[in-house]
Amino acid sequence: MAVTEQFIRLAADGVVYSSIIVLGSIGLSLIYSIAGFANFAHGDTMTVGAYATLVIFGVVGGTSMSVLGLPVSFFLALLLGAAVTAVVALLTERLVYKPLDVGPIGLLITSIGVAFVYRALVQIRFSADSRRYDIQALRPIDWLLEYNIAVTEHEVAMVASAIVLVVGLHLLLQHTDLGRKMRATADNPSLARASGIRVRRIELWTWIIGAGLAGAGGAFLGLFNQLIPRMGFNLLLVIFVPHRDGRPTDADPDVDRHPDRQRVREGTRVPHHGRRVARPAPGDRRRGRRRGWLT
Amino acid sequence: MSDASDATGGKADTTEQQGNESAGQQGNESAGEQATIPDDAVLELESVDSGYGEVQVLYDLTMHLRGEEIICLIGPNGAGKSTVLKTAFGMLTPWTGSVRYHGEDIGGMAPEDIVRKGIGYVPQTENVFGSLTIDENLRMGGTARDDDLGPILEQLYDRFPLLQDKRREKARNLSGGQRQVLALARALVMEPDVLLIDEPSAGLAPNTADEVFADIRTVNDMDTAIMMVEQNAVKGLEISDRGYVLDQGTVRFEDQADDLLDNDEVVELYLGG
Repeated sequence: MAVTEQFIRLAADGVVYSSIIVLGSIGLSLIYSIAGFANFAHGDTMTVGAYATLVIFGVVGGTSMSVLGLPVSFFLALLLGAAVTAVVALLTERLVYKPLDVGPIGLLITSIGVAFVYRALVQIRFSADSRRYDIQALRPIDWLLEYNIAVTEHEVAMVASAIVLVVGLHLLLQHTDLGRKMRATADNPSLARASGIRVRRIELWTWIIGAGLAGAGGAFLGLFNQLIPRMGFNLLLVIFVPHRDGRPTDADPDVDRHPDRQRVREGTRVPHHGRRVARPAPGDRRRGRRRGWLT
Repeated sequence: MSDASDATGGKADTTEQQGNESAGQQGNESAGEQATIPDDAVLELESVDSGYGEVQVLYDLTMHLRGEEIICLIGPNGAGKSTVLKTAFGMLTPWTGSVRYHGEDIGGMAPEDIVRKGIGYVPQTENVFGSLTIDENLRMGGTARDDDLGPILEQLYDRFPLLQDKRREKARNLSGGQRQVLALARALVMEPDVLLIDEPSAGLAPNTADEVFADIRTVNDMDTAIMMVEQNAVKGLEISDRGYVLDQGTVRFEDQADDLLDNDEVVELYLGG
């Protein structure tokens, strides 16, 4: 019986924590699908979202009206914090990643440097001390305690918000023109251009959506725990786990990822240095194939 | 055949083993005799040098496509056939020379802009979005259209019924021939004046290839001029009005398709005797 109770308690904690992780992981996967590299700054992008929400919530202040124990103004701050995160990610993409004429590995290494910069800037501004949102902590919901589930209303709000965001993203990808173009671009960027899709715009939208989700995830992480400059970095490896088949090695090295320079560099094939590389099934081999949330 | 016969008259000695540079010069001489581009040409490549990175593939290449005709580019591997299409479609920027569409220079213009001008492109491989349904593939083909896609999609479904039957299926589940049909249909959603098709029969069984060639004829009947690269030279020329033989990045022969098929030198050197 004790084992069952412990399992239920751990499962409930797992659901809450997963709702934070999934927001980071989806953003990571989206950006990987379109931009073609594993963004190691994504965890610290979540940190940016958490601190941006902290600042905005500090300015807006608490409101008497609340939902599941959270002031409505917190949700407003969270949305604005996610928007700030998207802007930071867009600027980083334009100023750092885009001008670089390097392959996926080069961009990956660059993103590690970007992560250091994000973290250092947060630490310079807010110090290394932990902080919390000015929201009163709640006791677990009484009636759930009867089932040995120790979950607060705040945590229910996190799970519900994550579900809304994930379902919203799914609807966007499956049923909107932008979503179809995102999936097409992730599937075959060269063919997307040949079909008339403005791939650059799709890429920017992907950064906006991916970073926005990371920002929201960061804010929930701060609410779940506390805010420290390493909070996103500490989560980085965990958010890579649900990211589907994030190996860049099955992508064709002959393809330049930058949409405006996308061309097959025939005659400059990069050797695989004897590594075993998974080969797709005949007829399903795509140049520059990248797997992720979108494909 | 006018200029075409001139070109044939200026046949190069293809048995000579020359470097790329001298091949370019030879192309120049040949191009000098065939450089006249007719007024009714919709797509023209004039004195084009092009390639990948530092590697030059095309040397002083001149060719044209008239409205409502099919031309077929044949030649050995590495002759630069696909490079011609990629240069015409903006996937490669011509190093020198010009690419004109209805007289407008489109050399180096982005593919997504060229599509909006009225040129479609069907790549040799990976020419469908495998993770999207057939209906979504077609919708992606019409992404640059402002009007309702419904009527044109219905037209295409009528013309290619197998797509209608599988419209909700993922494109990755289609056979090779079905993929080629979808790739053609995707490019046709924009109702292009010109369609560039790269190796439509590659990897297909002979019967399936024949069906795809028949579909290409059908597309041509829809007032779409077609520039096609084809490894199966005989089949390609059989459905074409004119043909170009490329070798080492330059035009070796240009003629009416039937005349190329009857040309002993072409047959011996490029059509396998």
